[in-house]
Amino acid sequence: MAPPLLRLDGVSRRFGNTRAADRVSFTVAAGEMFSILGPSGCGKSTLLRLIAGFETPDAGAILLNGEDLVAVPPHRRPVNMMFQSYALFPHLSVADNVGFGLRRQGRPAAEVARRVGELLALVRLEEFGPRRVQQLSGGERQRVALARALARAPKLLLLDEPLGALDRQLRAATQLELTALQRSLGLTLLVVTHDQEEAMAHSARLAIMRQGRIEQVGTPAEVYRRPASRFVAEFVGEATLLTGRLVAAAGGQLAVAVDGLPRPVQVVGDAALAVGTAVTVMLRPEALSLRAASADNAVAGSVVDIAYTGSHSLYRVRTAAGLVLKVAETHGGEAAETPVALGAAVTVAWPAAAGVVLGA
Amino acid sequence: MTMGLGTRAVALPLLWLCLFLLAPLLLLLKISLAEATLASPPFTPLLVAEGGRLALRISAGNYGLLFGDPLYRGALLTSLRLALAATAAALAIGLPLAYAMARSPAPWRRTLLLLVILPFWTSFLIRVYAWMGILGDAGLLNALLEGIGLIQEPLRILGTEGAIVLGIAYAYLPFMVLPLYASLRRLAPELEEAAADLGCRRLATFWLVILPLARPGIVAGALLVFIPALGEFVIPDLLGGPDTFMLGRALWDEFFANRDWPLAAAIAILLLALVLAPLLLLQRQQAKTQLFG
Repeated sequence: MAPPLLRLDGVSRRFGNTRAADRVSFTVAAGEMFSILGPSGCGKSTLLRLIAGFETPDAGAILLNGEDLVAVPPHRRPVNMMFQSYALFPHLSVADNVGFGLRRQGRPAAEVARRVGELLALVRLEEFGPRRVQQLSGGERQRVALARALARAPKLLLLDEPLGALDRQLRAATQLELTALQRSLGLTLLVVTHDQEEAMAHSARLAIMRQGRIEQVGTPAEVYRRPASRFVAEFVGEATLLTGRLVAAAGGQLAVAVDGLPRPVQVVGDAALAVGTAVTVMLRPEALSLRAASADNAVAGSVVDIAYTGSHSLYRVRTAAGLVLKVAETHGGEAAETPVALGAAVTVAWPAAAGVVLGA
Repeated sequence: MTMGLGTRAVALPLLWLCLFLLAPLLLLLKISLAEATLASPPFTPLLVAEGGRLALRISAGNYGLLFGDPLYRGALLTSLRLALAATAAALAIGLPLAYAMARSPAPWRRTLLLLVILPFWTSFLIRVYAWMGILGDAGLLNALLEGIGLIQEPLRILGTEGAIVLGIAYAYLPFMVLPLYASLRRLAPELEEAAADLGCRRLATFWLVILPLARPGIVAGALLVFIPALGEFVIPDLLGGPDTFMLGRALWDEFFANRDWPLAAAIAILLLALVLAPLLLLQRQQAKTQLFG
């Protein structure tokens, strides 16, 4: 495998008592779209600012093509950033904004003009060159910011909540355009976002961040199916988390006693765990069923909430002891013929292979 | 016919302006077109009865004197030169100061703003006197410089044009800092980062991004310093020497010493005209800023 384009190695940055970045390590391959996903205040924007050079790490190395960037001032780093606020220069026209970085490189005026024309065409704003930034809509500004960040052909493009300021419909369309552009130009993108759907849908890989630490790095499917922690399980998608104690382990088949459930939960998992260990069993809602005739696990309860989302419904089922299980049911087929009503007594069933044992 | 509420709301300030601004101004203009005479009031009337007819007697001699006489032309040029120098000095000190204030952490900003306004709480005159104590031959500055062995003979600072420029720049610095601070506060820090990201060193960021965006504040601050500096009387009188003759002094001398009201009035009108041009500029700038926001 080719060496990674970007490598963060034990990068830390503190602000007072807050650890905005705490021994962060990950790599981004050339041509990859990599997302950093986390709740607001988790330090993900600080990470971008460290890579762009607006912050200096207290410890660790930031390597681009094997060269440490830490000592390189921001104006000499071969990376460009698209700011969340876009940070377009209000005193300059659209064309002058896009050409700003090119003029700083000392390119001749004719070349700058030609390149600005190409970039504006790329983001479909050919006619907008002479306009003032104030005259643009949010979506247009976003595209100007993108064109400006692309102008110097950066080795790595940093995007801070690139779609955050757009309304929902524009987001989907812009995301598709961004992905298409990334593929056609072979761009390496590092995107920071708090929107898990956005990150899951379009990244090749993503890092989940919490309180300055990277909780997990993986493909969207890996992160969804095998979350490394409770936090990841809850932050990415819907999940039911059952906390309990390992009571038996034999041949990869574990039994976990969970408070509020009459029988131990059967899970396929790591046989190396010692009996008596406190564990969490994660269940994704689509792995659970309200209609299975027989399964490894079955729990009785009543439906306390139904969320209809179009393609499927998410049921919340409460057991007699007060545990809540989330069950997703795809519409069509059986579900359409005999819908489950609110308050109905049901049995939630799932196979042992559906459960994932989390560390804590 | 009854007046609408809107009309009345406009009428009151309009009446106020006519009564206390326009009328005295017209009076001043009238006096400036008269000639000095030993009488009470000490100027010739504009309208005189001549053989049963009213005749208009207008003299442009005062204005001719202002532009023709080397003394007054010199005063005009000195005033312009020193006011410009003081404005430039206030800008040179005020811009970094305002920038540092705008970029300091929130709890500090209020304290720093208060410190900028604080000198207004003491008398203007006392503050200028204090500068006499600092700049004099046996003053604090010379004592300090001699104390650390930098000079043997006291420097002559008080009584020079430099002292006037320093005094004016000091006295009107808050008028420079406050509008600069306001416009720099509105400048998002990400704009500077975006400039750095696109290849600007700090100096290039300053020239290409900060300065153009702070322009409304620079124009407002410069005018707020330049306008009062141009007609300043107290500071040149206390800190300057006898050979520095500015318009403020000329006006004072003509009015009080020479009792030449018409010439004093002409100087006042000239000052007003000199100030009016930059004022109109300020207004246009503000209209443009509102368009921006």
